[in-house]
Formats: sequence, structure tokens, C-alpha cells
Amino acid sequence: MQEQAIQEINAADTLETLQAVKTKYMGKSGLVTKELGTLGKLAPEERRVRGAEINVIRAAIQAALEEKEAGLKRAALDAKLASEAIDVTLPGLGLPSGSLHPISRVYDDLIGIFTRMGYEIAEGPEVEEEHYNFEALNIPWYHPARELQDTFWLEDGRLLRTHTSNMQIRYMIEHDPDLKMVSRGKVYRYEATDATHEAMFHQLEGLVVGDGISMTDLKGTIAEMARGLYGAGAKVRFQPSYYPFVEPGADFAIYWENPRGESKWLELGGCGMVHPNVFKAVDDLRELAGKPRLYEEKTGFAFGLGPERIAMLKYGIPDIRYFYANDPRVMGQFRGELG
Amino acid sequence: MKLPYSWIKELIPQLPPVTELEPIFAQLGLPLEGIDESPAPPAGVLLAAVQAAEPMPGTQLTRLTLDVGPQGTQTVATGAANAVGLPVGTVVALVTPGTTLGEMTYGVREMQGVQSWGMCASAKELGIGESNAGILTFPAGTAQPGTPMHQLWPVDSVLDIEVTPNRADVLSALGLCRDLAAFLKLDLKEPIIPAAPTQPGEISISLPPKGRILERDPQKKVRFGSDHFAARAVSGVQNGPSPLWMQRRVSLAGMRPIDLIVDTSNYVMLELGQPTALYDRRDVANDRLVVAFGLRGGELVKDLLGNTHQMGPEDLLILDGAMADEPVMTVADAFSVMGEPKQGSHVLGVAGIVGSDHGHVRADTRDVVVEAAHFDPVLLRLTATRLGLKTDAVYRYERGVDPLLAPKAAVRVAELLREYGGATPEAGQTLVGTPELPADITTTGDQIRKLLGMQIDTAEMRDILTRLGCAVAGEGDHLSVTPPSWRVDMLIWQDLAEEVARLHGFVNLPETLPHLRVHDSNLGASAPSENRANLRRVLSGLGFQEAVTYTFTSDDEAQKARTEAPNVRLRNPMTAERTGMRTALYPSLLGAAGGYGKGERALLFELGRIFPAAGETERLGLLMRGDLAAKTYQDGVRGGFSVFKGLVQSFASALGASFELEQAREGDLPAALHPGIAGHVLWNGQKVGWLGALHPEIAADFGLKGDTFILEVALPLPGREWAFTDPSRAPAAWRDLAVIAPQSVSYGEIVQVLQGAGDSILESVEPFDVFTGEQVGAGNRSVAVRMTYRDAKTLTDEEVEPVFAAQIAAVRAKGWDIRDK
Repeated sequence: MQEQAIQEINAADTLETLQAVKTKYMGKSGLVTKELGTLGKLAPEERRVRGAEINVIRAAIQAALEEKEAGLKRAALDAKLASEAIDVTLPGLGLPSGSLHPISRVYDDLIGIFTRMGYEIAEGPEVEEEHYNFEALNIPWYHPARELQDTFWLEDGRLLRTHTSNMQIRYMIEHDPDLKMVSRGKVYRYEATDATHEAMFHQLEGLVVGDGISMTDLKGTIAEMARGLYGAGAKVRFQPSYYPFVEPGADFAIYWENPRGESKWLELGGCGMVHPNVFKAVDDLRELAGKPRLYEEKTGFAFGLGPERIAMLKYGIPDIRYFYANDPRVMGQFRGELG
Repeated sequence: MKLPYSWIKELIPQLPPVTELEPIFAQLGLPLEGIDESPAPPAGVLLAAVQAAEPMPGTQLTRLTLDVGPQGTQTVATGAANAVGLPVGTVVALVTPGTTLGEMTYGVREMQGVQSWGMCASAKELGIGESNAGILTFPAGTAQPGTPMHQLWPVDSVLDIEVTPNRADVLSALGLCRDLAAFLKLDLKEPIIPAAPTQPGEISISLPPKGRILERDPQKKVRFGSDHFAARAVSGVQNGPSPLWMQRRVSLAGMRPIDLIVDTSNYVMLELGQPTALYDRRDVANDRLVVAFGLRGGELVKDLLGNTHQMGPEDLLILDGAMADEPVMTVADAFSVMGEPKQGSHVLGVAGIVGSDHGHVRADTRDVVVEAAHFDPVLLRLTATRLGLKTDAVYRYERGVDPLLAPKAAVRVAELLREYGGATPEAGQTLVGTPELPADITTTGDQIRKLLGMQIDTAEMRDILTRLGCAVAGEGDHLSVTPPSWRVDMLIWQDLAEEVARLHGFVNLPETLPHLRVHDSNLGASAPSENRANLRRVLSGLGFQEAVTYTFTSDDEAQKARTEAPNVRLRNPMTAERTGMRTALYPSLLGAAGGYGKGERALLFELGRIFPAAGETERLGLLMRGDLAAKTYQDGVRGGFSVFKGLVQSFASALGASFELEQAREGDLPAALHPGIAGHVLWNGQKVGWLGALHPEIAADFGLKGDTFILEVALPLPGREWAFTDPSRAPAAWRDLAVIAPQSVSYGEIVQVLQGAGDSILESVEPFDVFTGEQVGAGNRSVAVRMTYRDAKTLTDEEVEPVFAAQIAAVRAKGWDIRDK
């Protein structure tokens, strides 16, 4: 019987036929079960011997059944899996992926550096009063320095701000010293557009006001920015320059270890110690707003730079006009880590 | 400002080589924009003396017989106008045969029957100047005939120096070298100029008796026009070409040599920084120069170039004296004193800016009146700006000419005319006015050290300030400083600090960080900006590309976009497309979408400012075009209103905000939107803007084919109250309900009714079927919703049923119906 059973088990090629074989031998009325049923009629001694024999047969059949079942199940699964196989090299659904504008990326870098140093961030109006853009920044109406900033004047007598420095004034009116802030936003110059000039661009402005703030604090701060942007070893160079709202004033350059080409000093922006006339103008405006005069006795520094220039250098963008053309083939490149 | 290296080297003999100058100038705050090599003429260009200049009959040419020294006597034909009647002895630049200029090699050439031996060249032809007006001419005796010109006109390096508006004092060779010598601690070899005569000369001067207050000056400063005015008569000038060295310097500094008198005036301006005006004495009636203001309504002044300008009451003019013995305030006063304008006073020029067509130096001028004056920088700047005349003179005046320099400059002009023009300056020189000088500044070494953060000894500060020409007094740490007259920018002690740092060297500035604790009022100032950053991150993560667009617009664009016409308008627009500032964000996004290909998916967002009549404000705009996922070998995800709205839902959800869209109806439809696919955005329950499909007419006007979905909302977006709630672990109960309502009733309105009656146990309402058809009646719609109820403990039917019944009652109360299952 055992041989017969093993033969039938081996011959079963589906789980169903195997089940039939199992029932035939092991079921309630299966052959093995029946055989076991006959034991009762035997004498004790004979029953013991016969019982042991049948148990061996039953165990062998059971083992064969299990083995065969496992094999058939595996084969069935293999067949199912094989039938489910797909070509994974075909593209998935073309869902969108977005990205930030490169100017936002540069702002994020810069502002990240300054917020880590405890600076607040401020933003403000782009249409501005002449007073906030010029007069309060020690650029009187007749001053030749106004020619450095060709201005879009508005029919109503206001103007498009020529720099984010207006936010120095607005922020100091709103907030008391001591303070550390950076301001971001669009600025405008009445200029013909070419590869390096735009009528609209962006600036980052910084302002620190406190007691005993010195020019070395300014240089150290710019150096921290340089380290944050370009890593350890970034160097800062100051050269005297002129911005009416600071005295002394300087231009700053950062030594840039260019991974793709020649390393060099990059003129990145202007800075200086806040001119006392600016503090006075702020206190005058605060007084008009019913606020105490808190700035005249303070010292501070300010700096400004353009994210477009940093972005052009950092990403190798050849033309400033790319920033506002919003060409998907250009904008789509600024994702993830960019070397 | 351009200056040749050789000139600077003459004033500072120990000047380092040109290759070392760039960092030096940069450290001084006078960065070099460039160093241009100015070539010498080729070796074949020789200086030759004119022996005869004869017209060639029947031609426009002149035949010059030239002494070329070792090369003998040669003949050259030239068409240059200034060759006509050239005096014997005049030296010219002769390009000898075999010499190559540019791509052209000159030889002996027959010109109208004359064998022309090479040619006489202009500055431009030789590549050494801009002027092509005539052949180069130099005074007799400039050089031995036959001398190669490059011996006297060698190669030079021209420094192009960037000068900030505060540094008027370096707008001259002397001024620049003063600063350079002080920095480098080198000797300065100043030009030797005799002291000005102390007795007055024959020219009398009249300054306005009163000042003017400019209309727009908030400080109401009284401006006198001129506070220092020198005049000198010089007679018997032999005008002609100026000496070669002077022509060379003037030319290398970027100006055009004209003749001895004009070049001398320009040269002195380049050398000392003081502009001068030279008049033909025959035209200066009564030997009197009058400074007067113009009048309202103004007189017309024709300048020496023939352009006519209308002068006003804030313009300063130079007149001749006519019969006026008393000082005059305005041109009219001058005219009225002498009665007959046509015979009396003339306008000689617009002070410090440009000469008039009367009184200027001409070819036959022999006797000149030299004017050297200090004018009010603001008056001159305003006049020059209004007239659009930015001459080299007014460029210096508006920045600030040394108020004491005028008499010295007048002497310098007179002496140069004596030396090179054989002229005789009169013995006296008239000088009037009391110039305003920079005031003394007091400070301490400590104050300066604190501001700079640098340890510089007070003794070094004294030394630096003294080197710069200051008179420094004061004991110990105390500094009492009298700035030199040429440093009109030194006004406050911080200016001295800058000078100390500049000459000590900014390179030596250490690096420290400020130590301060910000005032409480600053805390949280960053929140709006951080919120914007958050919006950007979420939107880009959802698949939107950030756009940054121009904020300019035009009436045309606003009209195309059906939005408010620009209210903030440019006074001086550059182009017709940019005449004002945008009043909405979406036209900019539509423009950006136009840059995408046909059928290409565009998902854009922008955070930007707009400038409607209601005032500048900030907006967020979103735009979607094309499919969310394109159909390829498999089905994609079609774009559409529901996809766009779904993305906005995700956006709101990511920010933890509630977002609902309220159906926009006739009367409150956003103009930009399709009237049937338009909704008002409720963000955390507040109406902040709109969302929908772009109006097809606008789409057509922007050339956008296919559907465009847009959103525009005001920033900042309203926040919400938030508190942690422990999630209920009790199972939910559900009820389904189909509401039959007219099709004009929006889903939102139905939900509102169900929520209103839903008690606190109603957790959510989700639609699962929307159906129109005969079964629900014409014009009606069935909306089936599944409502989820939940409480802290398991809800029983007895608890849910009354709520459900109340909801049904509320639906019926609206006149709507319930669809039986």
C-alpha cells in the first residue's frame, strides 16, 4: 500500500489531485484509516506488531504528502509570480516635481547663515517714499550719489526702491535696539537690461545696532557669512568705498575657491558703520510716531549684497536675464544638491 | 577718471611700477576699472616742420612742403581743413612711406599731380587719440625735424580710476597724487605755481548781493551762487596748437585737444581740479564779470555749441558788466540798469557748466579774461541735470571743488599762457568772496579706536591726518582737526575714522563678532518671512515650480488680463510693456506659462507683490496647465479642475489649514475666471482669494490654448487656533444620505446644512455619488454623502438617530428632498 500511495502522491501534479490522494489514504474512510480500524479485531500481541507497521506506513505517506504539497505550493507560487512579472524598466507615471527658484535657494543659504547667528528677517515695500529710500539714508535730494542709483520715479512722486536699505529705516522705526536683522526683496534700477544688468533684481541687507559695535564686528560677520557660503578657509577683504548711509564705508570681497575654474576675489557687496545721520533720521521718524529716541547713542553696521551675483557665480549662470524668463529648461536644473 | 601713469609718476617720482598699482589704488578706495596701454605712434611717424603750406588750385587739397630733417625736404598733399594756411615752422606728424598704420601701408602716392610723400596724420589715424578733425599740429620748435614722434609721445599706461561721489578731491592729477603720496609715504612734487597777486586787476567782479533759497530745499539754505571768484586779464596770446606734452596729457586723460587757450583751461582742470572759463576780452563789456540768477520764465541762452537753453531763477549765469556798477541779483537787473539789453550785458555762460555763444575764445582771440570761481555745488548740479549738460567742469563742481583753489588756478592758466602763448598776464588779479571752509572736527583717539575696533595709536592717527593735509592740534588723546580746504567731505569725526582706517590699511582690520542681546521687540519679527519660506517648500514639494516674474505691467496687459489698470505708474517708463506696476499676480504667471511648450505641463507658483489702487500687498499665485501625468504607454492623469483643486487641498493640508471653496456667483465672480468654474477660497474659514479655470477670452488673449487653472490669494494666509486633541479610540457610526436639491445648489451649501444640524458628534461628510437624471426630476441633482459620527465612547443608534433625523429635517427645511434608497 505504501508503495502504491507514494506512487500516487508522486503522480499528483496539482494540489487538487494531491488532496484526493490524501483523502484516499488518510481521510476518515481512507485506506490507512481503515487499516487502523482493523487493529481492534486482532490479538494484543499481533495488534502491537501490526499497529507499529501501519504507523510506519502512515508516517511515510504523511511525509510524502507534505513534501509533495510544499513542492506543489511552491510551484504554484512560482507560476503566479512569473505570471505577475512586469517590465520594471518602463517609466512610471510622470508625476510633477517642483523646485525653488535659484534666487530663493541663494536666499535660503544666506538667510540660514544669519538666522543661525540670531538675526531676524524682515521684508518690506517695493514702492517707497523718497524719504525712506534716500533722505533718511543720508542721500539728500541734491546729492550726486543719487546718480549711482538711477531711479524709477512714479507719477505720484514716490519711487521704486533702489535698494533694500529702506528696510533699515523701517525696521528701526518698528523695533527697539539692540537688534540684528537681515532684509530681502526686490529692488529696481532705471537701467537698460543686458547680460549683467537688470531693471529689477534682489538684495540682501543686514543691520546690527547695539552699544560699542565696531568695524571689526562687521568684518567678522562678513567673514562668518563667507564661511557659511564657501566653507572653512573662506577669506574676506575690505576696501574703502562710499555709501552715504555708512561711515566708514567699504566694499567687501570674498576669496572664492572655485571648484570649476580659477579661484579669485569676488566683489560681493558694500558695507560700513551706520552713519549718525541715519540714526538721527530714524529717531526723528520715531518721534513723529510717538516713540522714544533710542538710536542716536547707538553704533551699528550695515551691509548689502546681491543674490543674483552669487547665484550666477555659484551655478555658472551666464546671463542675469535667465532669472526672470522662467524658462522651464533653465529653472528645472536647480534641484537638490548642485555640486 | 583717466590719468596716464607718466603724469602721476612726474608728481610722485618714487611711484612704484604700474604693475603694482592695482592693489594700492584698491586699498585707497580708488579702485582701478582698468589700465589701458596707450600706444606710441609707429617708428615711421616723424615730426616735420612746415616750410610752406600752399593751396592746390582746383582742388580741396593743401600742398605742404616739409622739413623732415635727415630725410630732406618732402612734399605732402593733404585734404585736412586745418592745413590751410599753416604757419611756417608748425610741426606736423608725418607718416613716412613704408609705415604701416592698422592694415594700411603708406607710400609715395600721386595726389592731383603732387607726389605725396606719405601723409600727415590725425590723432585718430595714429591710434593715439579720438580726434579726426584735422592733422596733428604742434608749435614750432617742438622737436628737431625728423625726430621720430614716439620719442616725445611714448607708450603709456592710462589708469582708469573709479572715484566715488564723495572724493571730489581726487578728480585731478594733483589731488590723486596727494592721496597716493600720503598713503605710500612718498614725496609729492607739486607743480611750481607763483603766488597769486594780492592787488586787484583790471577785471571787476560782481556777485549777487543776496542768496536764493531753492524751492524744494527742506533746509531752506540760502545759496549765494559763488563765494570765491578770481579773474585775470591776459593779453597778447598767440593762440595755436598747444605744446605736444599738453596735447598728449589732455588726450590721454580722455579730452580732445583744441588749441592752446582751450587746452590750457582743460589742462589746469585736469592738473589741479579747478575748472576755469576763458573769455575773449573784446566781448567782456566794461571789463566786468557779473554773476546773476536767471528769472522765472527765463531767458534763452545759446551755448557755444549752438544749443539753446531756457534759464530759470535757480540757474546761475555769468554776464558781462555793461553799465552795471551795482551788484545785480538777476539777469533782468543787469539789463534794467543798463537799459538796452541789446547793447549792454550779454550772457557769457551758464556758470560752471558751459559757455555761451558770446565771449568764447575764437581763432583770432588775443586778449583773454580768465575766470576761476567756486560755485554752489547744488545750484550747478540742478542746472546741469535739468539741461542735460554733464560737462567735465560741472562734474567736479557738483562733487565739490576746493573752495580756496580759484586764485591759484587763475595764476596757473595765466602762467601757462605766458610760457606757451607768449602772453602777458596783467600784474593784478581780482579776487572777491569769502569761501566757506570745512569746520574743525574734535574727537579722541579712543572714540576712533572704538568705532574701528582697531588698536591704532593716537600718534599714528595724528601722522595719518597730517599726511592728508589736516592741521591737527589737541593734547594727549584729544584731537582737534582742521581738514584741508580740498577735503570738503570731512565733516564729522567718523569721517576722520575712515581716513585713519584707510591709510592705516583696511587689510589690517581684525575680525570679531558683535556681542549683543536683541531687544524683546525684535523677537518673532521673522515669522512672516518664515511662513513664506514654508509655503515655498510645501509648494515645490507638491510639484510646483517657483517663478519670479517682473512686477512691471502695462495698460495693455492689464486689459488683456481683465484686471485693474496699473495705478502705480512710472514717470519715466523705458518700454511700452513696462509703464506701471502690476495690480494682480496671475497675469505674470500667464506670461510665464507662455514660455512652456504646447501641451507641456506647467505647474507654477509665485510669491510676489502687487500694487493695486488699494495699496501694495502680497499675493500667492498658482497655475496649472496640461495633464498632471501625461498619457504614455499607459493612462496618465488628466489635468482638470479637480486635480488642481486637489493639489491646493494637499497644499492646505500640509500647512494644517482648512481649505474650502465657495461657489462664485453672478455678482461676485472674479473677472479672471470662467464664470462657471470659479470659487472663493476660504482659508481657515476666511475669504482670501479665488480659484478656478481661466476665462477663455483671457486665455485666448494670452495665446494659451487648452485649460488653465489658477489661484490667487492674499498673503499672509490667516492662521488657526490649534491644540492637541487625544484621538478617540471609540468606533465610528455611519449614515448615508442622498439629498435632492436644485442643480444651482452647490455641494458646499448642502454640506453646510448637514454640518449645521450635525451636532458635535458629526466627524466628517464625504460625497460618494453625484447624480442627475429623470429619477430626481429635471433641474435637480442628487448628492449622496456618507456621514461619519464619533464620540469619546461608542455611539449607540439611540444617540445617532436623533442627530441624523435633525439633519434630514434641516435638508427638508431648505425645500430639498431626500432620495429613498
